[in-house]
Amino acid sequence: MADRRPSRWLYSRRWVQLASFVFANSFFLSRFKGFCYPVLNCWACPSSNFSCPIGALQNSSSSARLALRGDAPWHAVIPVYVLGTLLFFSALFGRMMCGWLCPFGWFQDLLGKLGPRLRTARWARYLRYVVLIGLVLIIPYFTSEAWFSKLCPMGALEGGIPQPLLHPELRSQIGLMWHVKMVILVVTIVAAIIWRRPFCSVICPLGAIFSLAHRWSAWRIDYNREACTDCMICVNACPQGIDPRKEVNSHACVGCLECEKCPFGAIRSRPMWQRVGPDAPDGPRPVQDVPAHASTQGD
Amino acid sequence: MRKRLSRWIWPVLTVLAVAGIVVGAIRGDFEVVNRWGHTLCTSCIGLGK
Repeated sequence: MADRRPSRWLYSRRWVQLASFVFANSFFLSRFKGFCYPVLNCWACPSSNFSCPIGALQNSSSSARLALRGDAPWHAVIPVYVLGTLLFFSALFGRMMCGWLCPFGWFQDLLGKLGPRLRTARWARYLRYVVLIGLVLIIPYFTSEAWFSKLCPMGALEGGIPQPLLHPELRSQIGLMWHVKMVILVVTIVAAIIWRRPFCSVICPLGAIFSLAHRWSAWRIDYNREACTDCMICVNACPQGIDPRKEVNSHACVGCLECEKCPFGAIRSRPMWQRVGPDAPDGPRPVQDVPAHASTQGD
Repeated sequence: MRKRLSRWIWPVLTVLAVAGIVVGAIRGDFEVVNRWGHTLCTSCIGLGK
């Protein structure tokens, strides 16, 4: 019989998130600003190595109008490099970057341990697309200003706080927007203590881009109804507050694979090229020996 | 049928993505993003009005 114990590497997510944060903010690698790191990591951070894809998209939008006025052809203003980078990662991994690599997701995961971990409303998850279309694409196009960056709490945390501390000459430029950003950061922190990853669920435009291809990405999560005992371990473990039994591979899933720790082997992830069926290692299996540590208690 | 079709979506998306990266890099987008990355983003920091 196949081993149903969850793979050990699933328990290394915290370390991968820490390594990603260090990798994205290692000053000695600062020559990679031409690359977009596929997570929300502010490029105004003093130690940032890579570019922020959302910042790059906003700059593309804001410069597109001027370029079109200057008789540039329409295809010249489409940021194919940035979009290609995002599409590449989302086609292979869906939204797994949010669950495994994003420093702001990690920050919210840590804050979430302090509070009641409430779930965000399902309808609110669609607001991310409004933020993406409005604040990242349309408003920067018409105003030539990066409005999402102006309000971004990650920018406040990684750029807004350390930059004026390190460069006293910048302090004289602190105005109303800086204070607005700090208020947004505080609200986000409080919300992350109360709800499960509220920024990822409701606001993040980068997560919205990855969500578009998540369902069809190369990495899939399979749910085996026959092996499921409705013990709710996966539902309680999910940092996004979704029910993997009903919404596996949904657009709200961040691909963290916490649900794959199912002691009954009902949830397994696999790359698309791996065979699935009754004969495959991850195929339907009968429910048998229930592990002693399996709990039916919610959090 | 739908499941079989969805199996082929990710390779198509990956090819499109690589094409986008290559075309963008040839067009000079890499240099543009590099320049943006090295410019201190006042919007990100929250400076100004």
